[in-house]
Amino acid sequence: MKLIADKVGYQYFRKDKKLLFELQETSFEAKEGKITEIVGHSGSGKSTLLNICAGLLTPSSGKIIAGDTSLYDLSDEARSKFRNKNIGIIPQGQSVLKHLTVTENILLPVSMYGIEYSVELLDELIEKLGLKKLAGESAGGLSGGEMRRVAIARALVGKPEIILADEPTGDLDSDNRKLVLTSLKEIADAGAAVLMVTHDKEAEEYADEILRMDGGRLI
Amino acid sequence: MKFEINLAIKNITGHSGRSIALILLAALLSGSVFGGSLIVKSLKNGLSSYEDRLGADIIVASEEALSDGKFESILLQGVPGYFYMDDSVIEIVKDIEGVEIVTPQFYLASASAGCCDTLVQIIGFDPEDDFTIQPWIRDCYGQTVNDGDVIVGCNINIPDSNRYRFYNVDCNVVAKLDKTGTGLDSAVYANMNTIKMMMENSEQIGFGYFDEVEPEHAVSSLMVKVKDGYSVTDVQRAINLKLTDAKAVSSKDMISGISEGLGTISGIIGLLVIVIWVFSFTILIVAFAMIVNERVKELAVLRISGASKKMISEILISESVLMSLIGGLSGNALAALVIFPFADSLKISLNLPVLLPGSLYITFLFLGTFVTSILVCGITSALCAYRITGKDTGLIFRDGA
Repeated sequence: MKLIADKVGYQYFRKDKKLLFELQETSFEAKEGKITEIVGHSGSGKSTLLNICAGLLTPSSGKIIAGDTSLYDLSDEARSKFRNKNIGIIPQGQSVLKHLTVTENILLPVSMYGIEYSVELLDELIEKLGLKKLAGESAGGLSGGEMRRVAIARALVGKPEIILADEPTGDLDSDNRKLVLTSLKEIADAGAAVLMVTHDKEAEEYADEILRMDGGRLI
Repeated sequence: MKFEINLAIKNITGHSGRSIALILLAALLSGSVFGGSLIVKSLKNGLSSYEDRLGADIIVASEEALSDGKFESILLQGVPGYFYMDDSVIEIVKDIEGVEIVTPQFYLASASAGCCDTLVQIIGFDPEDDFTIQPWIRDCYGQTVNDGDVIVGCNINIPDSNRYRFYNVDCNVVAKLDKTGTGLDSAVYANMNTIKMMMENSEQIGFGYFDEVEPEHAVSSLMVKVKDGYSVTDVQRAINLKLTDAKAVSSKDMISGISEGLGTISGIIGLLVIVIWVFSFTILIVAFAMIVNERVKELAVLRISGASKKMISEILISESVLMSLIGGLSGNALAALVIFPFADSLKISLNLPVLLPGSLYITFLFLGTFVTSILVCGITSALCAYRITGKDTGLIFRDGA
């Protein structure tokens, strides 16, 4: 499933109505089977653009089209369900529910709507991401790298056709970085459209297309 | 089980410290209103029952009995006591204009000695012309109280033998009266002949109850009913003008003191309940708001996994409803556990009659306060959920709640 950003713009105002940040009209495509990477300095608008693509931040203008669906034409409920089924998101930082086990965290998207999942895929993800020994443990005791791997497994367990990853290698050691990037490459090779926001130079080697952002626009 | 409920349960058990604090708040909210309302209702019932049991317009007793509070102690707290005056007052009072009926009562405290099985207040009355105790006994017993028969108040245990011995008079326990919430629940009732036998025996055994009055001419109090069309105050005044060692008081005057006490206690309890509610409600709002802020990332993880805003609200509301359910139930149960067994201690400490309401009223009060506390917690969390879900998740990732 292809993801298209069509003239997407966003303005972020402070409480005193002063414009704090502006994402200028941006258009691009994240194609199936490819890793599209958005690079740029901190504050350039990468994460804002990614959140808009995920259906989590309503743009001031333009539209996001995933497959044949214009995301922001859907109600919140329909958009959430669409996201659950079609978009796997790996957010920045630690994103686990610490009081749930590792497996419960991974299964969160499928258990949410009672979707049947492949036990083989679950086992494979746990095995490949080095989480086998931790599967039954509480996620609260995981290291940063382990939490990131849980987030990747969670994003992939429902077999989504679009993967959005925000700084997936941030604060990881080189072994973990390599593991994460290889995993994303494999997902893309399997046919998913992977859109990755990063300023990790090593990640650029895995990208099929690189988009550069600066000052709220693609350059 | 539905995902929202399942996750809400895991969230509650996974954050035990936070959950216990919120459950305690819900328990305080529900239990304080249930307990406070139950006490106020019991006091009102007690006063009403006390009023019914007094039954007379005017009560005449020795000045000492009325001023020392002996009379009130017997009626309110069931403290065994005795006081007497000469029965000549009966004729004096009967002759006063406006008096319809006069009936005497006798108070005798049983003794902690071999002649008596237990220490209680014994009240003697004349079934022929009594209009205060007899109607009450008629409701519970419905037969004539014969010589040697006694009827016991609801706080008195009936022995297996069905017999009690007071001043060597063997008495047959024929009935137990309904609860009144007053000291009368701890008394034993006998007819005139039975109590006269006890009084005579006590005199023979050597108890000096009748040092100032001949036992055969002793009465403790007179219950006076005023004729229709006559003012109770005027008749009371007329009685007081005729009597020297005894005094007449109107039932209303006796009750007004209790009524004032009840008003004060009810006011204090009402104020306390309001303070607890305002305090708990404020804390709940602040606590929920703080918890939701603290959980922004957690809720964002749910959003990126596909949870809709409605689903997030349902999870938050389910959590608070489940916690208030546990809190409300335990708060009300705790209040009931404290109030039910200690109603009599409450009567003694407040010096007011206390009569618990019926089980139907208690059930409605229990459910009403329980449901209200659930609603309050549900509304509070719904407000917080509305606030948090009103914001784009992307903004939450960007700058928190």
